[in-house]
Amino acid sequence: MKIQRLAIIARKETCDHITSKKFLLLLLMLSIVVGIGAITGINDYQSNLDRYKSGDSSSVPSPLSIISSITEVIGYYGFGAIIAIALGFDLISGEKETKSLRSLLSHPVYRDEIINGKAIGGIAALTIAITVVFMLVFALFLIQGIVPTLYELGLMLIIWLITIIFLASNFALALMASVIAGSSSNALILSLIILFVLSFFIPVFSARVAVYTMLGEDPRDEITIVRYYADSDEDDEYLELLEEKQQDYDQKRFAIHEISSLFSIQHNYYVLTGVFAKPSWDCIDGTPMLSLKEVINQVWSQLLFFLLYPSLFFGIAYVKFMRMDLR
Amino acid sequence: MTADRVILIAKKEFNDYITSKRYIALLVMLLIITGISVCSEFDIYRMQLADYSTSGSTTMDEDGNINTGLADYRPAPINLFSGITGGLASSVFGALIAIAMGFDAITKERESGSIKSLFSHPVYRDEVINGKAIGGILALTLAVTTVFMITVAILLINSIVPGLDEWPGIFLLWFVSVLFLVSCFAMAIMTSVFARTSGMSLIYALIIFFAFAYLAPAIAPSVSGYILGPDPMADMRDDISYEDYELLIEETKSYYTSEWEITNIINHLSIKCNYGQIGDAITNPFFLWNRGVGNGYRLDYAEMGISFEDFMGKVGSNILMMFIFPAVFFGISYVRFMRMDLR
Repeated sequence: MKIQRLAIIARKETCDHITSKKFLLLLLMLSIVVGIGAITGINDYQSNLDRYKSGDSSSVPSPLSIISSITEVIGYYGFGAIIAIALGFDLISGEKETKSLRSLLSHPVYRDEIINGKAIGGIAALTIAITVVFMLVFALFLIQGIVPTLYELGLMLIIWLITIIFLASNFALALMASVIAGSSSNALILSLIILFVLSFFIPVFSARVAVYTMLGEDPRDEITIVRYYADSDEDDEYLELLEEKQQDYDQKRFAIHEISSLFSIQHNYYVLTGVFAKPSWDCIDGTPMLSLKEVINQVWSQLLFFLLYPSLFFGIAYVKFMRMDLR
Repeated sequence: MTADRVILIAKKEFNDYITSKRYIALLVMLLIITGISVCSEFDIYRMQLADYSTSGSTTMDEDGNINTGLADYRPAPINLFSGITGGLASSVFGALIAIAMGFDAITKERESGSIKSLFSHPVYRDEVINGKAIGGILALTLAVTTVFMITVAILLINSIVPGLDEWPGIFLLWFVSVLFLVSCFAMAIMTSVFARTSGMSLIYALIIFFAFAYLAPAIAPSVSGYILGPDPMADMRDDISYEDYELLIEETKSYYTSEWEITNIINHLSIKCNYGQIGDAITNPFFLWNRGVGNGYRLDYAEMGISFEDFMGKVGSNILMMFIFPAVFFGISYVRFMRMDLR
């Protein structure tokens, strides 16, 4: 693998992406939704600031709360996943379908250069898209006369980075599907199904099944009835026992849900950005109460899974592509 | 166009759909999504029923006496069906079955070159596209019917029997659910007529789905905030007089009522919101009827006496939109397909 050839392919891919109609359309939609969300956020910020000035509220509003309009659109509404998958799903299968892959590989270029170049090109295009959106929000800040402090800028940078990793995970997922599947449309369906399994099937369905099979009946209904009819000491004792059982049950259920939701890329993104965008560990005067290390301690498992996905997906795509039979 | 040939194509398309692996996989996915949703509703139902059977719900009778109970409302079997609405409308995965069925309806024929050989037979273009649409709609109807049948079966196994007065509601919900999926299907057919490759068609279908599902609810709060200005409660001061306070409360009430109305109007542009609204009106009427201008007490579903006119007044426009979306999408794809240059 040579850096030079890699750079050529990556540059060509980036240019292809950012000049395509599909990319521009998605970016436009993203900007509209984020822009409108940011304007609402800024209005809220201004009214909170007024309340703080008049002494009705004791907490200083933070411009970071406005950033959550970006993370919400990308994570919750799923724009991020769609943009990333749209850029990645036909990278290899498209070349296979138009048979350009053969002519490409007949040039003096190695397979790993192609797949790495494509991945770098796609991630670069996604970085551009996200930077545009962040710049847009930042410009709106400055127009409204809101200037974030250096500390808040640092946090914004972290959120920006997390967002790029989030998009890169989805992109790597689509790239993997595009290597595995025979046609582009099957690649797209496959990546949506994997996304469904990771973000819905495991965290919701499997967690439910696990709760039912491992923990049994929820004692809540019995508590309601016993509490309503309780009139003797015996009943009260029984009630206490049930309440203890309930506490135990809730704890275990919470743990199961916590573990199974680690599989969801979207949920990890939500938790990680939440930690930085709405810093509950933030002190009133704007200096951090907890150090970065302590914060990361709280969310290390989410962070681990969050970083695991892009490498896993890309690893599979890489190996599969290197060994692909092209006849 | 003769009916014979349309039926022939529709039948062939229908058979192709329901025997394909993709349809089966997506149907399983649909059943899982709605199944989970219905299960959560079932938990709530059981909790409410336990509360209701001990103390009843908090309601006001005709004389104004308030009965305080633990339950939020009297649970009815039809509440469980809101799980289906929630499952179908809450994420892109619910609509995916419809989108996945339609996105390559035309592009696949073009890619494989079979459309030319198809048109070399004595068959008209409108027969082809109508046949494809009818075949797809039938397959979707089958999928939705399966979901409803399984839900009803699970209810019956758990000895929950919907009352006679609930069946029209269930049937209406079934019909609206089919319409919801048909809208998504027509949208995918439209992109499949426009796009050159199946992959692009699917991406465009997803983009348009997002635009028509999430854009309106995402921008609605901003728009209403822009039109109405800040919440009147922001003028609240500690030294306010009682009369001013009363006035402020009134203003706030009307503020939130008009905010809700504006949001509601904008949400008509979203397929998902229309479907959700109708689903709420059928399965959880107490939520919908108390929203905006709530009277504070949730009434028992059975005692609310909501007539069909009340229902249509509340969500008639939503139902209309549910017809408009598929008609527009299908109309565009029809015209475009008829004029398509096929060389």
